[in-house]
Amino acid sequence: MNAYLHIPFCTSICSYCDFTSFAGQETKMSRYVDALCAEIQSSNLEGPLQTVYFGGGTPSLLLPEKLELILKTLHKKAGFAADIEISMEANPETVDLTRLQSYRDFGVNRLSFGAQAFQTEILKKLGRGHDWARVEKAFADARQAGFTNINLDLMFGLAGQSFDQFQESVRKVCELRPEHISMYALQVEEGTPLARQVDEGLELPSEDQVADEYAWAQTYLLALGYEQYEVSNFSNPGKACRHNWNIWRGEDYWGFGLSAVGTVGNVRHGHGEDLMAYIEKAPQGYESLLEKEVLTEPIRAWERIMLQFRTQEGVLERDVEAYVRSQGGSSYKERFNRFEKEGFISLIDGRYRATSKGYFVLNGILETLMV
Amino acid sequence: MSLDHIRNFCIIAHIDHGKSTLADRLLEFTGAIPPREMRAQLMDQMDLERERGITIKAKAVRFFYKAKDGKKYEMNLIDTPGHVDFNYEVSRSLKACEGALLLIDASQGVEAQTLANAYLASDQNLAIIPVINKIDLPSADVERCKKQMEDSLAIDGSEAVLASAKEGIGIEEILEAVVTKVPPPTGVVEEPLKALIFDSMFDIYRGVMIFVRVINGTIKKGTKMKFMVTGKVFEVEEIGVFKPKMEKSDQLSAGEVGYISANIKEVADAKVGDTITDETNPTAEALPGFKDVLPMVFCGLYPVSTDDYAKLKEALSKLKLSDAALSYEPETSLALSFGFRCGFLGLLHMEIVQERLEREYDLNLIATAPSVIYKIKKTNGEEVVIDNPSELPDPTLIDAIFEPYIDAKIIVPADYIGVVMTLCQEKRGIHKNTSFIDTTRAVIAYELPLAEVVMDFFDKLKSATKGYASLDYEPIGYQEGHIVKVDILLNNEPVDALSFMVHRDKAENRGRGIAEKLKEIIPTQMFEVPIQAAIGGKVIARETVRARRKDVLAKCYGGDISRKRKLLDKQKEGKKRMKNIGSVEIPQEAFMAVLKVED
Repeated sequence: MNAYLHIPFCTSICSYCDFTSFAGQETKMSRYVDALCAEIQSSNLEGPLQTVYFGGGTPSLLLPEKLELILKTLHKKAGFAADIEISMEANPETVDLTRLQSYRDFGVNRLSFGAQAFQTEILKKLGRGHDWARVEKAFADARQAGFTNINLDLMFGLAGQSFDQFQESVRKVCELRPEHISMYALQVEEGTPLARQVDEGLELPSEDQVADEYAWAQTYLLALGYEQYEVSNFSNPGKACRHNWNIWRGEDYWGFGLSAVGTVGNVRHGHGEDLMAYIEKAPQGYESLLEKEVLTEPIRAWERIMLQFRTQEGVLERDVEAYVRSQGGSSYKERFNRFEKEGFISLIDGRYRATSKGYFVLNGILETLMV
Repeated sequence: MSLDHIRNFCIIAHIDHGKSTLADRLLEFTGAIPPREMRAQLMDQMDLERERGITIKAKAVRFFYKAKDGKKYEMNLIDTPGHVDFNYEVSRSLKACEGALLLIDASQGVEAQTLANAYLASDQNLAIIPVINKIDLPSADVERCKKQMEDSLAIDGSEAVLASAKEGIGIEEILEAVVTKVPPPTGVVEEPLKALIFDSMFDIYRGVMIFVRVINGTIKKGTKMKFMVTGKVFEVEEIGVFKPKMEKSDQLSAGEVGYISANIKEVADAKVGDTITDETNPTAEALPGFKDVLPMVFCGLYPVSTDDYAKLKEALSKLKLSDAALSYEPETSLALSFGFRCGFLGLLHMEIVQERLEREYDLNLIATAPSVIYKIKKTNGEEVVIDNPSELPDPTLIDAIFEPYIDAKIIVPADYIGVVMTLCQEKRGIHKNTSFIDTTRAVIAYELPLAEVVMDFFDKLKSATKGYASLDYEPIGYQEGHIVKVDILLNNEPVDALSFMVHRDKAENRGRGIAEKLKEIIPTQMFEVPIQAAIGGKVIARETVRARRKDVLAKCYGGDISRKRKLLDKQKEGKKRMKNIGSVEIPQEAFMAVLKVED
């Protein structure tokens, strides 16, 4: 079993972010953690847990003792596998050596820093609270604290960032030799400050530049020995994020906390986005917090295909065929043959995989399978 | 019986010169309708007609006028369509009259259809009463109108009645002129029945109603009437006149005008221009001048949603009941799937039919580029006629292609002579002559290939002359032309709906235009999409839609899965609304935009 825990607090909100998080609500953190623990306790989570992931928000705003409380609650509830992966997202400016050491002591063994870009002015535009020096400092502290599995997040397709500046950012990230690099294309999400800026005329890089950046990074990271194991994720061999891997494989995962999503069996559960409602309802037990979506077997099959295609593991040809047939679909095969010929996908040992080139147009590939 | 008390007349005018308003005023003045209670412009029945300010189908209205000579006259006002597309129908309506009011807008003067209609009327030896209308307008120039009338129509300007139908000025003078100048009908009641069908209409409750002018004899309920052209026989069920409300009467006799209903199922059975006689006592000879109206302009009509095919079929069959000139037959297109090849009298007719289909039958249609009828002489001497590019024989079997020409008369203010001639030249026109109506306005005569006119000539003419030009045309037969068929290929597959026939000199231009437009509207695909315009195997224009660089490269974690799935569903839904042409997905609206070809 895998567990995702959402920590919806930030010191400030980044312009592009549409995750549920609140700035200036830190006084509620303690009560929130209590509510979170109440939800965990009352749930029918069954262990042992293979992975735990603290996402946000900014989980690194958690005082170490609060983190300890949550992990203890989880441990008591479900138990941990011997090789459990406990990941935590962190903003570089929120951590120091002491805090990182505490996190490490309480069991966190994987850190994910939101580095995003090298250039200070770009970081400022994104609404980030750090500069590159803070990234280097946090990274060094993490190493000193004993973390041997660290991810750095990096974005591309950023407004105002040139291709050269993106390259510079990638080089800077790689200089630190993180075990893992997540590389995201900037998405303009509805309702974010960024969306408003775009409406007001903020210019985003051209499709060509975005594609060039992605392509260049793929090559560059590959040359340094990183593997691209998913559309947005690169790692040293054996250092993929197991939590996400398990989800992409179609394993069950619990979501705890405000806005957190989980999928257990054929039910996907979510939580609302009202912080106070969550805090107040949690003592009544986890059922009162959940919004449920029943996933039919075809939807689950489709989601597995959709997710597996994003990963280096790929999808079994027979799964694809079975799905298309179950939908009464006609021939996807002709189109897939052409995709293969043009180098978007490969078919080896009965398994379809997107190539590095195929990742660019994964939606187009997936659409072919939809009826 | 004397026919001295009957006057059969019509009003002929250019569009918007006030015909319908004058008709209303005549009815109102003589008490046929109570003032102000009437619906404005009563003789235009259909909404569409009112909106366009034109009359599609002629009707006849009877009213009585007590003239200054103290006698009461039976006046039959026959309305006529005002557009070039319906020239034949106009001529049949004129055949039912002895006189015509030639209505001219005092501020506009003589226009193209004024000329055309006046010529038609004098060809039929009708008494023409010129009426200068809208004299109340500040821009009215009566003297200029009179001068134009004399110069271009050889009509004595001093005879013109000055009127304002809107203000009710000159109405009595007009009625007096009709009484004194229009001769009474001639005809012999005792002769065998001979009547002219000058119009027909379809009523959903009564079926086809025909409008007739009785020349000789009498027709009454129960008469076994025989249509001499179609050979069909119907028993008269009802006979009557519009006053303007429908009113049954016992009979119609020589010289009279009225309607007949007789369980006729579709208007094609009662052709305009046909002669009616009594089957039991037939007349020896039909009236001269009958013509089968033949469509001149064709296009494919397809439902936007293929599910609507049956609905379109039903709608066309219903329209056909009331519109004999409309022709249609099923057609299949790879790009547009199932639809109909439809034939029309002309461009306006085409537009009206499309609009009626969309409005009255709630259909959403795609129309392919309009085309004309080409005559092909094959190398083996055989002659074939085609109205669809797809029917063109293999080029190696073609000896020559002939295309229809029209004789166009364009009236414009002198300032625009240059631009009009340039336009006509561009449209491969052959200049016949330019004459002047007066010092400021010219009549430019051109022979033009109909194919060029059906594309966008009206729009171009209008915009080049700021709306001042008026146009009238008539077909004048076929001429050989260097015509080729251009195919548009997407992904190396021809798109049938985009094929067109065109003069060789214009093939590159139009082919390139379509290719460029397609390039604009085709969203990037997974693969590069070549667009080509080709004559046979020879590519004359080429564009390329480059392959899509990326679709979304977003992250997708546990909380994003449902959203991602729904996003894909939505995208797929969007794709379903696209036309899949040559394995290229094209948005429906965009494809329609390409079909609206411009030069």
